Amino acid sequence: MRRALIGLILAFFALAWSGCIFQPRDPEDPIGVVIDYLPQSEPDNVIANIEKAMEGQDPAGYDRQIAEDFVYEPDSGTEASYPGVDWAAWDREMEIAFMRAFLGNVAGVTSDMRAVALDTDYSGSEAFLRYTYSVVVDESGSQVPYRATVSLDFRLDGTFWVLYRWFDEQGEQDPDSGANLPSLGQRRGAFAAAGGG
Amino acid sequence: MRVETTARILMALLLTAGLAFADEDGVADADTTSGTGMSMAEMLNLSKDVDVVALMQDQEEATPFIQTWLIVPTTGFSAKMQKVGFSSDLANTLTLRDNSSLVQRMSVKLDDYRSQEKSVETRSGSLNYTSDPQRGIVGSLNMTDNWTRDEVTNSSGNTNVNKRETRIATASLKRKDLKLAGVDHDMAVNGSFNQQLAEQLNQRNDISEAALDGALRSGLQAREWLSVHSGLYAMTKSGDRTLGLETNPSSSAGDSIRAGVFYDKGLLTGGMTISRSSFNKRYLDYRRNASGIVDTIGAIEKIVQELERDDAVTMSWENKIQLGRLSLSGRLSRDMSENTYRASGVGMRERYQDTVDLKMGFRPTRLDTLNITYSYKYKWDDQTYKGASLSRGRQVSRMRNLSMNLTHALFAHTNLKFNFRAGLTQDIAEGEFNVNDRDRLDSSLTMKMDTRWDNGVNVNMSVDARRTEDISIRSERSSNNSIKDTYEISPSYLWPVAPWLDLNQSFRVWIQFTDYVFSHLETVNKLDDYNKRGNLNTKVTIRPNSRLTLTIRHDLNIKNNAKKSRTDVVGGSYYSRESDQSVSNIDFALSYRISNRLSLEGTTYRKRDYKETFGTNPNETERYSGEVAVGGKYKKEFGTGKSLNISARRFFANGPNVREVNEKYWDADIELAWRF
Repeated sequence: MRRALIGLILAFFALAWSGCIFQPRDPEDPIGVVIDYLPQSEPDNVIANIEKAMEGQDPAGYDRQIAEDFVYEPDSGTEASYPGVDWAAWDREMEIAFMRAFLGNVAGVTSDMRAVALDTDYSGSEAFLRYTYSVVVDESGSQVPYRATVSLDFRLDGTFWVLYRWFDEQGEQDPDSGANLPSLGQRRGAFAAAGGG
Repeated sequence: MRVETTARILMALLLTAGLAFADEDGVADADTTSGTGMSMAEMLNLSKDVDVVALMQDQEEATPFIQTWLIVPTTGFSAKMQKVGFSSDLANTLTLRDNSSLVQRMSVKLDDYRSQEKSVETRSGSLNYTSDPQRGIVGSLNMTDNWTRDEVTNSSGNTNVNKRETRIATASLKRKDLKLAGVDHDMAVNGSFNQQLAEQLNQRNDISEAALDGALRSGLQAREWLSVHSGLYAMTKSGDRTLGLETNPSSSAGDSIRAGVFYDKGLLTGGMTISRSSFNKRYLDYRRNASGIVDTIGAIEKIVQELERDDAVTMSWENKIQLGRLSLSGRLSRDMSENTYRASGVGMRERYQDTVDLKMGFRPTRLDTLNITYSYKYKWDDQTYKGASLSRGRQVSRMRNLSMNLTHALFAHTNLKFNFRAGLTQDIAEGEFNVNDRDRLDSSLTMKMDTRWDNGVNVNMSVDARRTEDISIRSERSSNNSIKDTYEISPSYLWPVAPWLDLNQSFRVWIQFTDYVFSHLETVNKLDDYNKRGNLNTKVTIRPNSRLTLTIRHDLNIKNNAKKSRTDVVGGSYYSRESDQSVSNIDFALSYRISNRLSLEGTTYRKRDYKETFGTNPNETERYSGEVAVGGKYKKEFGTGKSLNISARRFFANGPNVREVNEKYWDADIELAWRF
């Protein structure tokens, strides 16, 4: 009796694994652009993949580039604008939720994460890169620019490089107009302040 | 106060009577009466004439006003790769004669970032008084002052300074366990004053507001198995806010009501709750766009007078049934909210969420435990942008998760665990964002065997199969749809060979196939692929004596990538190698304890990263890197609460791209704590 019961449970496990429980919807045949992600064998490839995921509005592609212990640290302007947000608790789960909401609610994104290269530091299993990034978001019929200096820290996880820290240091000036532009942290702050996550 | 006075008079009477009896017994140290003894009439007379005030003063002199005074200064300094920091704290805690307490804290902190031109300075102080917590009514007074200054210079040489000082004074009164008409009540009233003086984004951001709020929680034990609870809360706030050059009155008001019924009868335990809250807020704010983002670039009106309204309702029912070896529990909940802004481009937001959580626990036999959980979440949010006549359309999210765990005691010291998990998340958007519709299905089947012998040997074996389907539904995004199948096997063991020697080894090999759903279409220029990975981690810990610990660790990681080149007539797939990579890392760590206070540490690693790519442009790279760190730790305790901790390490890094700033650096921490 006992063996029969255990066998029944295991059979149920096998049945469940075979895909009888949940099924995703059938997708439409593609007409859109193909995102060709690079292998995560270099930190630069990870940054390129982040750009591709943003521009292709593919949050699943972004998820694969960030580490299990990912942290985001805002710049002081963002921190001052959203003092009620618990930035210390911003982890991978929150980042994924934010990226899904962000990429799912805008008409388009133009991303240049390496607009200005500032520093590069590899030490074998870790890499610390600093850039000034430029991201322009199409939404509500207008274009919203973001530009900031960022510290990106990468780790070699086995044989894959992943991003484990995104630190927006400071919003930068628009090279054309000279206007002070905010970092993408402002979007994260607005997402968290509206009860996101 | 009357109770206290009565108690003191009673105490005085008892003391007097005690003295009289002591005199009668002839054991008093000091005779306060004339003659050798007193009659009962004299004694009664004395008790009537006693100077109660004087006795109370005597009593107070005997018990000092300040019972305890704890002074705790701490100071610390740290120099790390990212920043150099200094911090200092001083805390004074006084316990007074009537069990009330007075706590004062002051702290100063300074962080200077090494890679950036950024410094953050904070200072804070607080004073807190709490009356005797044993009394029916507990009062508290709290004052805080926080000051922060954050200065950053960007790459254009422009310096931005964010400064803020907040001063908050709060007075609270709480009455607990008040019984009226058979109902238990807890009450709380708080009054506060909040002042903020700030400069953000080169604009003033000042607040000066006073607030008053009150809460009443009531509970009635209607039957032995049934209780009813309710809660009421109301608040109001008003004052002025300055943003930029504008100053306007600000105010907010809100209330919430909550009710619940809870039962515990026979096999059933659970309860139902419902709550409703409503708030209105008026304040000055920056102009915001439809996503709630500050959007002042090019705007004529950068500062707006905002009116925000929030309404929310939450309902839930929870129930648990225990039937012998079977336990069933469930929770149903519904949350609804509406959030409107008069000035922000956000306009009106609506949210709705239904949640179902079901759990079953079952012990079919003495050796087996089965747990099954199912959860379902359906939620949507909608938004009507400011000035729009129609809503943007609902964005719906459906999540279903099923998890089953079976634990079987296989034989002595060994458990076998099976786990199945499946989760489907579906994003469905109405209107303009429908193009972003996507499904994600995660399913996994895992078998684990753990053996833990009495002699400390642990052996684990894990076999795992996992499938992840990322499916964009609409044609504009579906080119990248993929199904990833991963198979993994990972045995490991920990073997304490001898009291001075531990051996720990784990091996993990897995292969992940990526199948692009539309790779067969000419328009989709994607090839299915796989990557194989293997890790072998070995760690040996040697403790030749109680002072010395040596750790040697070697990690070997190998990866092979390949892309599908063709499929034969019987469906067999052929792959061509794309790249091979191996990363080998050896670590050596030494720790020597010179005394209970002082220990020396040294670590070093050497890493080799070799990569070979194949195809039309073959390439080969080999990269070596390493680091040496030497240092020590000093820890001294000077009695209870007095300690000095110092740790310092000097790092020497080498590698192909190590920057000058990180080639050699100190990582140091000094902390001094002194409790008086």
